[in-house]
Amino acid sequence: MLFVIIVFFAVVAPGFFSLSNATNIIRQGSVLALAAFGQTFVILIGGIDLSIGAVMGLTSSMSALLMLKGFDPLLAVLIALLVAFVCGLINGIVTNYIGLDSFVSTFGMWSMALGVGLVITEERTLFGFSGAVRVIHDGSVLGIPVPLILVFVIWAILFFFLRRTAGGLSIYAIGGNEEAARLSGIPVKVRKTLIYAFSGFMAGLAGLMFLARSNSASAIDPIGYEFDTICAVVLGGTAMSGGHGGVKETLIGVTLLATLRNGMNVAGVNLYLQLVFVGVILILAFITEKKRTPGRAVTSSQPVSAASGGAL
Amino acid sequence: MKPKMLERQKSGALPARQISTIYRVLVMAFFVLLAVVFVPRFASPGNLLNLVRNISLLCLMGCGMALSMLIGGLDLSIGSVAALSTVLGATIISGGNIFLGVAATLLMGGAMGLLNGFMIARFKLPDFIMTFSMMYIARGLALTYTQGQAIYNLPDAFTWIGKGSLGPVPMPIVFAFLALLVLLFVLRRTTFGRGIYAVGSSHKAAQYTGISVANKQMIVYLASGILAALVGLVYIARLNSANADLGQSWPLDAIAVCVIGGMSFAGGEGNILGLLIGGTVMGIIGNCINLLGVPSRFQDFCVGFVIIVAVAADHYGKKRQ
Amino acid sequence: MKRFLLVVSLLAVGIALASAQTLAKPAKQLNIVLIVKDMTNPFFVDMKAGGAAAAKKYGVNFTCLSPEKSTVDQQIKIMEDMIQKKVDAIVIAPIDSNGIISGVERANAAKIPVMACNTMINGGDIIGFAGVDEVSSGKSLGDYFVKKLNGKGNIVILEGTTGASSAQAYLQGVHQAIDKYPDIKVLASTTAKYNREMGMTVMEDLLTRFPTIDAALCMNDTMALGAKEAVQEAHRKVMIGGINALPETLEAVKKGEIEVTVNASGYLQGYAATELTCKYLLTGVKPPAVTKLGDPLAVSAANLEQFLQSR
Repeated sequence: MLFVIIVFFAVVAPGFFSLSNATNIIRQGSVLALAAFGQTFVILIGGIDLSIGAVMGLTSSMSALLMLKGFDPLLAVLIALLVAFVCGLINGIVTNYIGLDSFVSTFGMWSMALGVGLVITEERTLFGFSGAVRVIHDGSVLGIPVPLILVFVIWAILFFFLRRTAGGLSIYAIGGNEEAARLSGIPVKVRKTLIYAFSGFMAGLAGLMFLARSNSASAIDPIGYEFDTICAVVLGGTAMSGGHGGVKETLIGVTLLATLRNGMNVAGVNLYLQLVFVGVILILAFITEKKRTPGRAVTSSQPVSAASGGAL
Repeated sequence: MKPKMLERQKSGALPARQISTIYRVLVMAFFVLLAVVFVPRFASPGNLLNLVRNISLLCLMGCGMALSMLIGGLDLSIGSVAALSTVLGATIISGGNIFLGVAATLLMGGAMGLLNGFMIARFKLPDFIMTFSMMYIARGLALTYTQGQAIYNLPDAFTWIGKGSLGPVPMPIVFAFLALLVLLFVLRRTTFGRGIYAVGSSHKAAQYTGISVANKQMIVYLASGILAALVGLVYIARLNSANADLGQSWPLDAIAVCVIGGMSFAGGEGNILGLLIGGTVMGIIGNCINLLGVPSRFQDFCVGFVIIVAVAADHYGKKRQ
Repeated sequence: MKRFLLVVSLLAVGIALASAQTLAKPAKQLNIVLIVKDMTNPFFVDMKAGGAAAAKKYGVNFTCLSPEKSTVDQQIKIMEDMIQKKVDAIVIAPIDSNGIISGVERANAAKIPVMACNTMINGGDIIGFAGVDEVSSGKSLGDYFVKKLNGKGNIVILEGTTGASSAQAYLQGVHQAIDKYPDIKVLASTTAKYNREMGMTVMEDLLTRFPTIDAALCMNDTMALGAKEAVQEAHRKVMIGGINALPETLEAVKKGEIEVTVNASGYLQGYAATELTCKYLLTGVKPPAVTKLGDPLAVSAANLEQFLQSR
C-alpha cells in the first residue's frame, strides 16, 4: 500500500519524489512516530491512550516556560519529560488500580493536561526561549537528519525489547490473554501501569520534537495527535484488541500517513478533498494490509460478560 | 478495544442490576443537589427548561452511540454524518420541499450508517477505523458541497421541529422522549434487542445460538446513522442554518453520555436509564460551567474531572457487589 | 486478484483527481500559494477568492491551502511541502505571529519570498504585510458599541477558541476600545470556540445568569448568529455584534436581528497581498513593509446599503 501511494504521488506531483522531500517527510513524521510508539504499547495490551496530544502540549509548554524563566534548556527538558511520565503514570494507576476503562481515564487526563497547559501558558503561544532544543529537529549528523537517527535508535531499542526480551514478550502475553498471563506469574497490573507511564513519556518526547519543529509552544496545538497515532498504529497492523503487532508495524503506519499528507499537499489536492482522501485511503490501506496477514483476529471475540442484564 | 476478560460472577442478575442503578441515580441526584444549592439561577424555570432541552439533545445523540456500544462497537462518524446529510437536506428544505428534505436527510444518514455497518460486518473492519474514516469522508464531502458557506433562512414550518413545541413541551424533548421509549421497547421486549445484548457480550456465543452478528451490526449502524441525521435536523432547525461544521464535538459528547450512563466499550452492558442519567449529568455539567462563569481555560478540565468522578463512583458501586 | 484490482482502482482514482486538478502546468509559469488559517471559515473562503482574482489578473498560477487543524505547526508543514514543490512565492495568514517564524526561516533558506496577510509575522524575512489585523477588527467592534451605548452599559463577550492567537487578538482590540469607559461593564467574557452551536448554548446560559444584558460582542459572526437564535428564543432585547460580515449576518443586520458586524474583508486582504506578491515576482519591486487596508468597517443598519453597494 505504501508503495502504491509513493508511486501515485511520484507520478502526479512534481517535486514529491526527491531526496529533499523524503527528508521533509521524515522530519514531519518524526513527531508522530515518537508518539505512536507509546500508543503502540498501550494498544498492544488492549487499551487506548487519548491523552497523548494534551500531554504533548503540556510538555512543550512546560519546557518552554521553564526556559523562559531562565532554566538551563537541558534541565527544563528533563523536568518536562518527568511531568509527562507522571501523567502517563496517573493514567496507568487510574486504569489499572482504580479500574476505569482506559478510554475514560485517558480522556480525563486529556482534559486535565490541557487545562494545566492552558493555565501555565495563560492561553498564549510561548515564544522567544532558547533555541537549544531546535537541534533535535533541524540538526544533521553526517548528512542524516537528527530526527531520523533519534526515531531509528528508539525504534531499534523498542523492537529489540518487544521481540527479544522476556519483558517485551510478557506484553504480548498480557495483550493476548490477560488471565493466563496473570496466572503464569507475570505482574500484570504493574506492567500495564508502566506501559501507560511509558506512553506518557513518549508523548513528552514527541512534544519536545514538536517544540523543536515550530520553535514555539502551545498547549492546544498538538491536540488531535492521539487520533493520528491510533490511525498509524492500526494501519500498520497492530490489532486494537491487543496481543498482535508491534513497533515495526507502527513505523510503517506512520510512514504511510506522513507520506500521504505530504503528497496531498505537494500535489495541490483541494483541501476539502484531502479529508475525503484520507478517509478512503485509510479504509483501503486497512483492507489490503489485512489481506496480507491472514489469520489475525481483527474483530475481538469477547468472553461472556456476566453483567449483561437487559434494558431497564 | 480490550474486552473485560473475567467478570466477577454475580449471584442472581436482578438485585445486582438494581444496586448498580441505584448508585447511578444517587450520583446524579448528588450532582443535581450541588447545582441547586451552589449555582445561582440553576433552579429558575427558564434555566430548567433550557437544561431539559439540552439533556434531550444529548440523550438523542447518545441513543445511536448506545446501540453501537452495546454490540461492542463505536460510531465516531455521527457528527460528520449529521453535517453531510443536513447540508444536503437543507438545500432541498430551503427550496420549500420540507417533507422531501427531511426524508432525504434521514435517508442519507441511513445510507452512510449502512455503509459503516456493511464495511464493519462484511470486511471485518474495526469499528474505530471504519467510523473514523467515515467521519473524515463525510466531513470532507460536506465541506466540498458547501465550500464553507452556510445554508440559512430555513422556512418556519421546518424550524418548528427544533424551536416549536407540542403543547407545552419543546420539540427536542418530544423527540428524545419518543426515541428513548422506542429504544427501551426494542432493547427490552424484542428478540432483536436481546440479540444485541448477546452479541455485545460475546460474538462467538451469539453466533452459536444462531444470531447473525453481521446483521445486528448492520442494523445498529444503520440506526445510528439515521439517528445522527435526526439530531442534525433538530439542530439545524434550532440554529436556523445548516453548515458543514456541525457536530464536531458530538462523538465525544455521546460517548461521555453513554459511559457515564454505565456502558462499557466491551459491549453488552448498559440500559436506557443509564443513558438518561448520562445525558442529565453531562447537561448539568455544561449548564453549571456556564452559569458559574468558569473561566474558559478551566472548562475542559472540569468536564473531564466530573466524568472521571462519575464513572469512578459508578465503578465503585459495581465493585461493591 | 483483489489486491490488484484495488491498486488499479486507486490509480484510476488518482488519475481522475489529477486531471481534475489542472496539474499540467506549462513550463515557466509562476506559482503562488496562499496559506490560510482554517478551511471552514467563510472569511478565508473570501480571502481565497480575492487571492485567486489577483493572481488571475497577473497570469500567475494560484493555489490555496489550509491546515485541517487550525494550528501553526500544520501551517509550517504546508510551507515545507510547498518548498518541496518549489513554488515561487508564499502568501500566508499565519495562525500565530511568532510560531510561524521557523516556517518562514525555512522558506528564506530556500529563497522563496513570503508575504504576510491579515496577521503580522514577527520575524524571519518577509517581503511585506498587507491586511487588517484582528486587533483592529476587535477595536472597531468595541468602538461601535461604546458609541451606541453612550459609554455606559452591560455587555458580554463571546470569545474564540481558548488558546488561539486570533482569539487573544480580537479580545485585545475590544478591550482597547472599552477599557477607557468604566461604565461599560463586562458581565462575562467566555469562550464559544468560534462555533455556532456553542454560541447559542453559551448565550442561553448568559441570558439566564444576567437579567439585563445590553450587548453581546461576539468575536466572529458564526457565534453571533448562534447567539441571535438564543436571544430570539428567549424573547429578550440584546444587541448583538459580530466580526466578518458574512452574507448571512448582513441579512440579519438588515432584518434588525443583529446590530452590527465588522467587515475585515477577507477578499480585499487576499487580493491585496496576492497582488503585491505578483508584482514583486514580475517586476522585482518590493512591496511596502506594511500595507494597512484601512480600519475595518462596522456595518450596521445605518450604513448597510452603502456598504453593499461599494462591494
